[in-house]
Amino acid sequence: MSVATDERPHLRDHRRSERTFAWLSMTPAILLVGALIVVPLGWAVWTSLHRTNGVRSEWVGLQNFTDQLTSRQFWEILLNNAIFLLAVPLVLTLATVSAILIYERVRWWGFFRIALFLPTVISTVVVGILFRTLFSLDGPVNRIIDLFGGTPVDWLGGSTTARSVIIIALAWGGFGYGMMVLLSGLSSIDPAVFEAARIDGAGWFRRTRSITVPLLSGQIRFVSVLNVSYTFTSLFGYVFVMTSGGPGFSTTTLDYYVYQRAFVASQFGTAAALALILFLIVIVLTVIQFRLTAVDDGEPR
Amino acid sequence: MTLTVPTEAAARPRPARRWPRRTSSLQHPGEGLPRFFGWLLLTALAVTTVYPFVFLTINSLKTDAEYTDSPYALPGGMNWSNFSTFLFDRGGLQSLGNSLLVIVFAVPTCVLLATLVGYAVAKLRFRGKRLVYSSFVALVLVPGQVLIIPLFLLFSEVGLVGSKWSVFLAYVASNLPFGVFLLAAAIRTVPTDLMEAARIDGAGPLRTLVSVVMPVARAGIMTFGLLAFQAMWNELTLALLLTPSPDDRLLTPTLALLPGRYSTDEPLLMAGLVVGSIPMALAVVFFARYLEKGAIAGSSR
Repeated sequence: MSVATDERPHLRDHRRSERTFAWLSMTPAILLVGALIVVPLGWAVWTSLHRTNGVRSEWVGLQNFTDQLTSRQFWEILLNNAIFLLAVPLVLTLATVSAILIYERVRWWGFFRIALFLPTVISTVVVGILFRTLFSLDGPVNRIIDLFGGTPVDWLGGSTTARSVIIIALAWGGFGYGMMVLLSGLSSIDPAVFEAARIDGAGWFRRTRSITVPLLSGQIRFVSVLNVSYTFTSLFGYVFVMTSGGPGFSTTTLDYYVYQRAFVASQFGTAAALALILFLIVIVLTVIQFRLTAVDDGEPR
Repeated sequence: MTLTVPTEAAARPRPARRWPRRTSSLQHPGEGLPRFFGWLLLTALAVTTVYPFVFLTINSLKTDAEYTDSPYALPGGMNWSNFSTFLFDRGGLQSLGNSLLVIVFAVPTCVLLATLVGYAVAKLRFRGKRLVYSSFVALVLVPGQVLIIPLFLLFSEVGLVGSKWSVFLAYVASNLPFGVFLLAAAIRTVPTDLMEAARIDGAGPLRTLVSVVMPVARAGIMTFGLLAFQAMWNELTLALLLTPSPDDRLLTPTLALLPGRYSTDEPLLMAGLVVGSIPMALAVVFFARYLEKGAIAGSSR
């Protein structure tokens, strides 16, 4: 920033009015975010150190955390989250392939751009109920299986099948966003790069593997980070409408468990501790993934 | 290989100002095989993304008996009774009105507040600006699960649970950090020369914001408005917790609570899903450009 401040009085006045305006205009936002994000964050930490049902409260120190970290239940639920991470490579593959093809202007690309983006903007509640309906016992998917002489499957009644349905729903609802990000990344690459590769005689697969994908690594990294943290923070809608966490706890994810502990079991302290563990996981995963992929960037492929 | 075809010649006429602006040799029509398979692949994908919505619409117009008979057949006639049952007997209309009421006020409020902060941190000179900006950006990471418990306790403390005000405030606050990030980025691209010119003409910071910055950064502001609308329209957890009574309930919780645990009137449910999807589906078709910009802005971190 320039130090050579102009000493002419009207400019000083201008600076002052700029400063006053800046703080005045930011006040409502700062107050709102302070009261409804920063204070609650502190409140969550405070709650996590208590055993409380919202009415009576008792200090327990870190016991809520140690209880969770030593409970079998917690680790089983964390494993569920890890299983749902299987959706991330699906999202990445679908997003990358469709972005490249649309960028290459396959026939009907304009239509595909909108059609493939559609599920992304629809509420997870709608997507969840839709998949619940499609995979219900006498639902459309089982009708087709029946038609080909197969035995209908109780998709949402078995743990493996229920998880699979949620993973499919996740990938279906998520790849369109990744596709848009990658498309924007493609459009910022200098077309001369592709031109050069083509003149050098690199075929489609070669070009995609050695040029397009590496050049997109920044956007691919962004999409994967986003989807990984999404898997920990945003499955609530799907689980709530599709399986309510069942059968047993086999589709209970950490974010659903937080809700359940707090608002079904009224264990606010436990739930707050779980929520903070979740926050920590999101931060750690984000940092790790940025580190990992940052190293990758420098390497020749 | 047709090496000599210049890039410009390969470009097809397309509407101005639409995606993507640059021409690339990747659009080269030479390689027939990958292009055909690419087209085939995207067509298959597009069937999976578009058909479910067609399926929903078709079946929302059937009677339950017709649906049970065959989910794939066309409806016998236009049977609008599912929509009227959903809207009038299951609280659909009431909750649609509630959602619209909250969102119609929350989106402009959020956009306005985020624009003010974005302008201040991007263009105005004052001490502590970096701290303000990075605080907002850091808060983007906070997952909703951490906030739901303290927000619920906070709003019950002040007697706002059950009031639409609580959802309004929570929605505005929770979308502000990302809005500041997005709009600061958008406003940073406004040429400083332009603002200098306004200043020389005697415009103060507010005047400069309204008549120079906002018109130039209009696309960014639009984009954030749409993203905020999408986030609020699709949000479930806060809406579910903060408006527990049916009279105040928003649309997403109404939909999420619609399926019965044992038997479900599927066509009725689908009518609800159609109502819940229409606004965003329309937004995709008409504002695809802005939604894409949102994806782009999010990835430029």
